[in-house]
Amino acid sequence: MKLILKNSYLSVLLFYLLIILSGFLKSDPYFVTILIFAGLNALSALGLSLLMGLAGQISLGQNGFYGLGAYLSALFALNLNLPVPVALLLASILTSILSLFLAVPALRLKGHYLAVATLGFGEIVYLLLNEWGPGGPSGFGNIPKLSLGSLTFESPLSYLFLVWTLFLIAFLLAQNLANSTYGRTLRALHSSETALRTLGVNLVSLKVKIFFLSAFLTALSGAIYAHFVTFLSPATFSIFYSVLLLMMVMLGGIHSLWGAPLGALFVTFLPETLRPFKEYDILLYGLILTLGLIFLRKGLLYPLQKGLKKWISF
Amino acid sequence: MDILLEVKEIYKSFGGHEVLKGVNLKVREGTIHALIGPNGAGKTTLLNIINGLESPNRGKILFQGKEITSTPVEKRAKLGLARTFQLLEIFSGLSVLENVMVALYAQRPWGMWKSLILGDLNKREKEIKEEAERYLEEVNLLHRAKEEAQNLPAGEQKLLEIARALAINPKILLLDEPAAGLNNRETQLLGETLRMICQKRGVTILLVEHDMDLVMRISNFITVLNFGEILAEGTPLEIQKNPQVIKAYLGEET
Repeated sequence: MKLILKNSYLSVLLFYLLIILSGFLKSDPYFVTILIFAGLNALSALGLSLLMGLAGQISLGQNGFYGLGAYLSALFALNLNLPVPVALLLASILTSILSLFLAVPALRLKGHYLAVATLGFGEIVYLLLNEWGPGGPSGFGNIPKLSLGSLTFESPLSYLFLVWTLFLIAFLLAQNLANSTYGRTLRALHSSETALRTLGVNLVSLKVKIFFLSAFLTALSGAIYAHFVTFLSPATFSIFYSVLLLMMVMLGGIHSLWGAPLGALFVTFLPETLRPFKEYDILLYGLILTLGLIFLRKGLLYPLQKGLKKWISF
Repeated sequence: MDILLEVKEIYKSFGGHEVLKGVNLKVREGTIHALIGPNGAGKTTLLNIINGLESPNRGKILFQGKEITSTPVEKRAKLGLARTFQLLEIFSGLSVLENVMVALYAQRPWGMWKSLILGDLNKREKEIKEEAERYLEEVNLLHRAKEEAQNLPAGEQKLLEIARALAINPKILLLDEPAAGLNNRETQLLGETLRMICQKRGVTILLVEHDMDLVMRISNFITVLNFGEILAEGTPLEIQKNPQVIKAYLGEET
């Protein structure tokens, strides 16, 4: 067990198997669907965690990337008749490239200014989807499901498998990045931009690339979302989504990439577990999130790690 | 000896307050050149202008005979200007070793995509780790390699900044009060380290420092800055005897 904690690959794999297994064992379509949403959120949150936790760059515009990924992929599949996997990839890459137009000017900004600039970007995308998106504010449907050759992803379980496998790959790669000196340089960016510049590091390139990666993961998540629910309307892609991601990353633990999946699972499942409280559920939801942010400064991850270590040392 | 760095008629003011009033300075290659003067004389501002963190209102900076007055900080680093900071700028959240690794990485980066795939299994990771250890050894910090950089006492953080600056393989090292926060023994050791850096590596050092013992012991040349103007220049012996310097430092006798 100690070995698992030490070996990051192994613990990621174990976590992945646990998720898949719980989905297959419970096989309740409702539960599986929530787990799929949690996986999509985890993928998006991972993008934000790389940007915020690792590189220290704030973004409140992730909803824009999520929306662009979803809409572009759906439209590529519907209007251009592209195979869905191609549409997914193309939409994600295109969104990441579009993100550069935001990144280059925005990343010269810091802190609050960067937050506001990205917020503006998210809002613009949201407005554009409302104005120019098919069906306007009421959205559009009939988006094809994902298929790979003769294999069509229909059942929730197949999406569960797909989403979390993609997350697994992204998570392993992200961990590689965090454990490399490139990742260390990003963390250095977090603590002293001045020192980094005097060492000859081009900050703009560093920031733009991590922004690109962050946008890619969030757009990919949005694109899969589109082909899973097969119906899109702009409401899903409002600023609220960015705030939700922020909450996941903060609540999960911003100092580790593990914060993203943990926070995503927690925030996605919380409203479901609060259903029995009927009309008080929103109130409790807000209360729990607020208290969590106040009392768990280091995120859920910290007490969890401590608990695990205690349990192992027995 | 060749002039490595030349500062020509530099003027700088902040909100109407003139900090530098036509400063000229020539730093010869392979020397330790100290820049001293009372607080507020403009020493740190001059260092900032030399390495590009601030730009002068007037005047020129020449490095190896080429003008770099409007060259960005990052490019100056590549040309061979490195520095440390009076108010520490270490990378907190990284270990001592990792601080130096980041500097080494910056010299020959291998990019994000490769890092995504290979992580720390990359062969170069091991190489720069060993290289970083050598730099830490040079400033007597190897025993601290695995510690979190921000947990080090201020004096050792200064040494870490020196190791990190050395890692970019500079031609000139701009040091802003490296002895502040060090005790006598540590200052002694720092002096020897700086001399080694200068003699063995051939790195020129421009040193801003208040510890006069250290300055007199290791510098080849001293420039005295007072209220944004050069007050005196010369060898340590000449400076010690200069009546103007004595006046500026000790105040006028009543």
